Amino acid sequence: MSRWSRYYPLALTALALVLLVSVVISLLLGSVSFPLSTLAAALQFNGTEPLAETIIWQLRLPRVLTALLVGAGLAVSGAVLQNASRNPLADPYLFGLMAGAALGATIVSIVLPEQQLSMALGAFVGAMLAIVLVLAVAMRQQRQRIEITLLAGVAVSFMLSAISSFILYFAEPFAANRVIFWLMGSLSRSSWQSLMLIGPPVVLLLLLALALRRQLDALLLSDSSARSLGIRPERLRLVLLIATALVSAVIVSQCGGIAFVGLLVPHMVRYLFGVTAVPLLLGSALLGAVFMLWVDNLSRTLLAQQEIPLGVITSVLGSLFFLLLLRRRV
Amino acid sequence: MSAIYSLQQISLSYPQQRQRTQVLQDISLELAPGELVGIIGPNGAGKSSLLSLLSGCPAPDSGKLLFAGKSLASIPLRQLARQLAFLPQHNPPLTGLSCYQVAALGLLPHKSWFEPDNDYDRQQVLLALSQTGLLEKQQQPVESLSGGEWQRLTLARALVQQASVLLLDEPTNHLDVKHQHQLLQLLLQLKKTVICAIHDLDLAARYCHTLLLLDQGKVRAFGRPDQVLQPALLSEVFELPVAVSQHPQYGWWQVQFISPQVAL
Repeated sequence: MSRWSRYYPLALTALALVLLVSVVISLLLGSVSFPLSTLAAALQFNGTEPLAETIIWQLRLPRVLTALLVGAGLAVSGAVLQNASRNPLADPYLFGLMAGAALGATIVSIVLPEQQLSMALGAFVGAMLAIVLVLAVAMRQQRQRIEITLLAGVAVSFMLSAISSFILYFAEPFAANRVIFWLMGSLSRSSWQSLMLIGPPVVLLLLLALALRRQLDALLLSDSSARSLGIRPERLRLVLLIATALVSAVIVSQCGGIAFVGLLVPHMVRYLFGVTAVPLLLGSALLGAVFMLWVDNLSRTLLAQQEIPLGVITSVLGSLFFLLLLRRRV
Repeated sequence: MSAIYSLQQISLSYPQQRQRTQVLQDISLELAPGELVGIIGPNGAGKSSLLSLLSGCPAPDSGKLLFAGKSLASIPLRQLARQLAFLPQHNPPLTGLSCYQVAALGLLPHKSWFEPDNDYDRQQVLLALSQTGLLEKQQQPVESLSGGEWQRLTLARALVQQASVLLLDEPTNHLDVKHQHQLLQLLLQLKKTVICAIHDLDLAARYCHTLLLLDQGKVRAFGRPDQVLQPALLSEVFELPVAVSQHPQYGWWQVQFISPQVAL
């Protein structure tokens, strides 16, 4: 148990306050900056600040809320997958879901551009393809073994990425660039519509995971212990894998690939609040949201006139953290 | 009294390198409720396999396995978990969970999705921890426990689970002498049906109401300790000369294996 895990309700409240302040600051940040009073007036939407109202309601608010949900969704997915697989290094990437989603999006936008299919649909179908491949390998084992699932995820990830790369290599450069930039992740396409797509799956995943909090804790022990407590570990893992696949597919389809958040945030939460499901899930949701908000703020303010892809920032921070984690474990 | 378990011509095999290895053969017996049953036998006799089978997973290849009069396979897992707790043999996992949190997992089969723990539940957990002598360690992470403490913690979890039948795989394995006796005395006091695989024949003779001697997946003897602990049978099964005697003062059965003399 970590040092502060007994005080986690307090810590979660503090984190929620940090999130609130971060949201306000994020709404103020940008190429056009206003004072707090203008923000307050614009949020009331009464026509006194027409320019600020447009910027806040059309651009910044959907983007900030999307960042919040994307961060929370990825972090909760990672926390769920890490517990369900009993592997501290599991994240949506390692199960091949993001590679699958990327392949789906690549096929939709490069191989089948005439069909006008949405990237979201392509990415979702691709993620499901990845999960079906991983499970097809893992399920053939007489007794389901977690290492096999993880290794299958890595292999599927490589395979699908290779197909994406192959398609991109032969694609027309402009179209290929579009997909490659899309894969690097950005929230610049955020709208109320994308928010409506991301919101429900993220909230449903969090509710599902909270409902299954005892089951998630029991999975940490061993499959036979879990079974003795009335859980079918294989079925539970399948449900959780599918739920996280849905969330990460929707997120990758709307925002591109955002690596490492699912790995980074749950570990920080475990260190701060403890490993049991309730503080882990709520902490991951809050910290993931705060983290993503600030990554997005960095991405849109670090360089003038230009945005740095989100995936670049999360990957740099993520790999640094990953290396530190490895140093601590040895 | 009707049997808690009824096994009729049970066989079980595992796949191994493209062929199936027979681990249990043609086992037929009935286990009475409220008894402490010891499964004894050499390594590879099928003790753990029989316990797994009694826990419901894996299902037997053939034969009939009834639990409280119903086919074990037909009982929903969650419902079964309220009556039956299986304590497999494994080391404390690297989870970061505290002892209290592990014991509290026993509440799981009794709780619906969003139902929180109440004061009664917390008392049950603390009671189970105090029965197993772990109350002071309740906030410690399970990784810090010794093998024996972990063994007792899994028992605490089973107590919280309120199962009337406990299946234990080598519960005395990591325990020192004092804790071996404490654990078996606690198991007797619980007045539950306890079925455990056990290596120490003296402990088995002393505490078990019934013994089941397995050898190469077959039942060699089943009955009261004095019926099962026959020197000729034991020496055949364990492949060592055996002397069985009764303690002059207390009347307990004692088993001594007489190994070939090696110069010290």
